[in-house]
Amino acid sequence: MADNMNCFEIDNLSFAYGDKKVIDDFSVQIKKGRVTTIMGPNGSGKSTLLYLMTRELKDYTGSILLDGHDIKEMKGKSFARKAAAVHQYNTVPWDISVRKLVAYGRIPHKNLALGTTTKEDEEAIETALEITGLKELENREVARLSGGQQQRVWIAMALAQETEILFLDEPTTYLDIRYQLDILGLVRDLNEKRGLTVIMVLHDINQALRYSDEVIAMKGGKIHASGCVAETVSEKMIKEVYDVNCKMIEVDNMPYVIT
Amino acid sequence: MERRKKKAIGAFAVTGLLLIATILFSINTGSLSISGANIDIIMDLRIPRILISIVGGAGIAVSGVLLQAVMKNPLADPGILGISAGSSLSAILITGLVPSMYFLTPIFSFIGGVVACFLVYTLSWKDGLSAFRIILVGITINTVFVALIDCAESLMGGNNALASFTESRLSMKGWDDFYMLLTYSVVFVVLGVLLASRCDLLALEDRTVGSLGINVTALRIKVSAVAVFLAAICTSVLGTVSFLGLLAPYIGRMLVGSGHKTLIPYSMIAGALLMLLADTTGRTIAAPNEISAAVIMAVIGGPCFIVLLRRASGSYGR
Repeated sequence: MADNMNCFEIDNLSFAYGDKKVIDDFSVQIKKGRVTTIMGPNGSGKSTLLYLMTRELKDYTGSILLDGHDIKEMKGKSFARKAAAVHQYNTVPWDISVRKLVAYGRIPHKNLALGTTTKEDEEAIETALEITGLKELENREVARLSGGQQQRVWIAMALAQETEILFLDEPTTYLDIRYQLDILGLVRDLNEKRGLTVIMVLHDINQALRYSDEVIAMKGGKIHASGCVAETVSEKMIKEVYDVNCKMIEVDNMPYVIT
Repeated sequence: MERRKKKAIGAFAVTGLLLIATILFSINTGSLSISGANIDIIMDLRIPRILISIVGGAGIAVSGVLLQAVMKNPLADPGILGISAGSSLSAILITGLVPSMYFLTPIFSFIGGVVACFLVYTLSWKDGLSAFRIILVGITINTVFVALIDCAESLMGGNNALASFTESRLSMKGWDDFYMLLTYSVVFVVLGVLLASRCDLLALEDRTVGSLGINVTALRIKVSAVAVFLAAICTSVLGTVSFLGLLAPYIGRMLVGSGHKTLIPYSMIAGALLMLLADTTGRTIAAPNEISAAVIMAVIGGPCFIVLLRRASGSYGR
């Protein structure tokens, strides 16, 4: 039964850029229906781990199973029907509309040369636009929206893929604090109301504490600690992973880290 | 959105009408006037020449659009990047060295184009593709190939059949050339149109396209192959025509937007129009002497290229 709780099962994973080992004999399970945050200092391999799970990097040893299937053996489109990803940095043509970009999320479900749009496609696009609050902006050009709105567009595109899993690579990096909270609140909602499994990389420890259920703390390509937030994140762990002295305090029953 | 649609429809209509007007003008203009005795000569010389300009111009323009999509660079052009020169060189070598394989010229042109395209890619790749590095490397490759073409011609005695590969000598082309050009162009333009919606995706980050389940490298190779073959086949009939593959799509992006489903058809019409205008101007401006269409394109296209270079901020499609 325990197997069904996990979406990803990673075993003895190692990966190197040239002769520089970035992920070193890494094993972890990621639970279904939870928000899991990968944290760790720069160069700890957290983005690389994400790229390995999204199949962008393939020359690894060890195994990554998604629902019991080796992701190396899955077809590109069938993987894209299971897991969507919002990347840190994105570019758009200057004249593409919100709706057209969100519609790209349907690509894993169709044949591109013919490019017909079915009723299911339309429904998925509508739903994605509504969840992300972009319905009124659907005909606007993406390039003219604010950074926070653009990030919502990319999330909407991922939602249109109708996957069970959503990857987010530092979704708040280029945003001011208001939009950071806005995006993380949206992610939390997606998890709670739609049961989406979220796997993300975050830099801010406090945001990780507040918006995730599980954390994976990495250091030097190895797993340092993993598990539910309350049990894993501690002053000692932060000292060991980031080499920073900090204090954990509680405000309104929420833990915070002060450095 | 509606305004944009109207503008696009207007652009198609105006460009199409201009093309028809230019065709009519071109048929009626030249050293022979249309009259009973001359009809046969005009049918044998002037008509195929006009048709070749139209199909070849359209083909080069589509090749330009596809290269620009693949390289995320609005300045990419089969002439400037040396792809046409690579095709010519390989065609010249095969015609000069193994004349019996003349009928395989399109295949060898394609191989030469692929070599040039591959060189441009690999030599300009350095932690990604910089828009300006591609252009610099392309210009260098073009210069080297043009020099090699000169060498080959000198070594082989510089006969006229060879020279026709390098220059746009449309006056020597006939119906056979047209049928060959048309057959291949139709096939590859259709392939280009089938790739149109995927070309749109190439404007996004590779990573993002990858997470939609698309194999970006395979897509790049497919689009490049179609672009290079179009450039090769058009070059083998028209000679190297630079700047055309750059100007037609540029006008297209301004008028009909960056979506390839409309940009490719529009660029075809605009490319046909520009090429026919260049050829018609070349053969009428100093009649009975002729200036080749490639020279006219260079004289007009060169300054436009400089303007585009100055405006390009490295952002694709702008």
